Amino acid sequence: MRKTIEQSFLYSLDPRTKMIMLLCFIFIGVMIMDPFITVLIMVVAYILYRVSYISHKQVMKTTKPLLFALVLFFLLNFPFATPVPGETIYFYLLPNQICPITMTGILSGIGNGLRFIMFIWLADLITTVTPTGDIVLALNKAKVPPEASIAIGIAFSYIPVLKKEFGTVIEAQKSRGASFESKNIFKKVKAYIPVIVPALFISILKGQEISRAIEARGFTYDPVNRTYRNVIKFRQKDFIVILVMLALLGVIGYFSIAKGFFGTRFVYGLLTGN
Amino acid sequence: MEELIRFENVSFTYPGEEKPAVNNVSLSIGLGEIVLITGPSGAGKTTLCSMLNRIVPESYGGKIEGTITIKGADISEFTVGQMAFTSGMLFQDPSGQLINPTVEDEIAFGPENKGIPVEEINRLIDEYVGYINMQHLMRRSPQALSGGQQQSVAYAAVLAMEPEIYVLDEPTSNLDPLGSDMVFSLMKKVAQDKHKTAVIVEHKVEKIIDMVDRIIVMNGGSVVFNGTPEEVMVNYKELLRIGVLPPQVTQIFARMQDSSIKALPLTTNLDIAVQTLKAALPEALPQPAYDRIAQTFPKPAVHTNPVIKAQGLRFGYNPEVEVLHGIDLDIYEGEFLSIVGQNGSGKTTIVKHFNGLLRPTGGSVSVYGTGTQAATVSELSQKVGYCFQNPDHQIFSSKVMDELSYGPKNLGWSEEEIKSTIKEASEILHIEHLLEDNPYTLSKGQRQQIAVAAILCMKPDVIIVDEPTTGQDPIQSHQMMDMMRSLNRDLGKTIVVITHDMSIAAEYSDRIVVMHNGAIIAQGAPRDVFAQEELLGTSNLEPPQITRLLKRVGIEHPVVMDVDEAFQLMQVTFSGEQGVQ
Repeated sequence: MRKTIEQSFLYSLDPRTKMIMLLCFIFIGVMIMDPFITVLIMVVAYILYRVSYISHKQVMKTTKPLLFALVLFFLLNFPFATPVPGETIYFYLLPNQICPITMTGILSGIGNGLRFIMFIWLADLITTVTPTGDIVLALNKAKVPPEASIAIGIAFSYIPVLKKEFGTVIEAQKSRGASFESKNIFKKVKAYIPVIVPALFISILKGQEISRAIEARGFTYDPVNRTYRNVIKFRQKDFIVILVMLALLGVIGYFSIAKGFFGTRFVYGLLTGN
Repeated sequence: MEELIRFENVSFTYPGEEKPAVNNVSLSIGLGEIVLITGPSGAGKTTLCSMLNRIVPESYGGKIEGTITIKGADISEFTVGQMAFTSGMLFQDPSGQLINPTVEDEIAFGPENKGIPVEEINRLIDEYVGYINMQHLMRRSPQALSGGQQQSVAYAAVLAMEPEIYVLDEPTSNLDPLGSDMVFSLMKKVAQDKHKTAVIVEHKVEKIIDMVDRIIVMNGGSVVFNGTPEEVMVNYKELLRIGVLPPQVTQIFARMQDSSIKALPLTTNLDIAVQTLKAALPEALPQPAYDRIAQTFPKPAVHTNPVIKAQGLRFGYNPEVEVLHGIDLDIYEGEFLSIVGQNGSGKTTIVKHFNGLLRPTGGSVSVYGTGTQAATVSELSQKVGYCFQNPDHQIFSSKVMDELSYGPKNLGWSEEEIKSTIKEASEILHIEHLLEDNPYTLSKGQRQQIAVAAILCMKPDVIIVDEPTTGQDPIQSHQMMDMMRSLNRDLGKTIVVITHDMSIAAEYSDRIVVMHNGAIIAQGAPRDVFAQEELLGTSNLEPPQITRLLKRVGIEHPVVMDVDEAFQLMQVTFSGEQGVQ
């Protein structure tokens, strides 16, 4: 039988470990500008996806809409990418020598685009392998009052519900001849008012309904002393994972800050020898 | 019987309202009693039962008078949090009360709030998950389950709190027949096993009457009837008038009694009614007389000019899962068509192809001769109007007038044209007096009218309405359907109604299409469709109770569709007998 996310190693970790993992990855991602190294980290992220029994198809579904952002990042990068002195300028994107296209520009464009996808992947990975209940428990450990942590937990559970309601509103207005395809940004915003108003109204109604349901289930009985059936605790594997992540962060941080490694042209420079 | 709950001169007025929602109610409910509270919408049923856990007045505000005692204690001294473990409440909308990431967590939520030890909570989860047979779904998200399953989980979550009283507020209103049956049978099981007190608010009297000890009928905030099912059902005429439907077997026996055709002991149960009636029937049925009467039964109009044609229509939201498996369906000009079937049978998916919200992945759909592949939703919306179930999904203006002009404006009509159209449409639907009002301050029924009007203002030739009667009481359902009928008969609009309600479909439609698992399993005039009881059964639908009664006592032809028709047959059956006496 195919294994599920619930049986994976990452899923079994403490939610706090996973948060630390995500933070470490974000810091690492911020320090690394080189597209080649970014690809390396993406390979790691992809492997983590797969060992958590998340299918290739699922990953591609997350990635597909991001490809547009990749292109956008790549193009918008050129006006801001200052060439290294003495670098060959291939051509200018605009007349009057505006927007020079250089290797640095190309590398940083690809690097930024890929980093964007990498961040989304990591955030998606960590949230997918963390059950909502665990997030609530982690918040409780952080001394967040139960009212707030429960609210956050419920918010997570309700995202798909509200998404569905939102979809129905859009279909209902489309059936009344609405069009959302206007190029003009002001017209576009205006076209969405008939969607936003009912969506808000329905969200508020749902909110009231939920608050009554929570009360009817005795949440206000004694929130501070309620039982939590599941407990989270750090185990050996959590400490190992945290240590590995911190070590990785330390090493990359040291080379990046002290030695100036992992800049935009790091690997390219090594390869071409300049 | 030991008294458990006592209302003494209780009245409640919601903040900002002048009329009390519950008006001077006094009643008493005994320990272990199962009580049905019924009545039209707005009668105060929900308000009354919400007082039992103090959600009313605590979370609504408002003014409460009189005293409510449970086990002799005045409950006004307790908070909702405390009362929740005495009166466990199940609400109408299943998804709105499921707040946890998994089924298991959902059931644990109440007990966790009480602060009881983990082992005890785990025992409760095991017991009540077993109760609803969902051991295999423990780790699933409740939001991903079907409506009936969701409501079962919500019920199990209430049961796990082990309250003294189960308060069930219209637990099946938002469910399809399959989901309702699931919840009803769960309710029966709980009633048999737990011997606890239950207060149930429900419109579907026929489905539930055999498991309740007492019926309380409310109207306009007051209790109008209070007694055993038989005692209350004798007043069937008055009940029908205020919008409570007694079981059809009760109605027919009561009418036969009242008009001295034949006095049979009143019953609320179909099986007993079959036995009683069978025993009373003469040996030879007057078949010629039946056939003569059958000639006078209304015949549905036959229409022949197809305006929408679906041919070999296949569709799937993603390539792996096909939801429509090759549908061939014609919609004829001027007809009143009902599409019936369970949730997930593909009813809504089909009609969303008619105005282009969905495009076929195989086969074709054409509207007035043009394929929908080439047309936009906006273009198609001038031909086919689609009215969604919940008006809250589309109303966004602060004035009814603006709401109605939204569609026509999208179609690019001129100001004068829009004005005259709105005037016309609002006259037809009798909402001229609401044009300047804010839709958000209107009642749900009025908002639904506005939503229909908004579609009508776009002057479509075909109007599709999605489940217009779900969650409504019998009177509201008929008002809505009467409106559709007048659009059909007076304006010649083609009407397509999606519904779960077989008797509504029977009463109004020229033709019924029955869907099951993405395919059409039967279609034809209502009478012909109802004759195929077994086939309907495969889709968990059933003909009206009266139809089944006559069939089971051996009167197979004609197939009757309502109590009136059955009454005519009974008249001729027993008139001969009277003559002999």
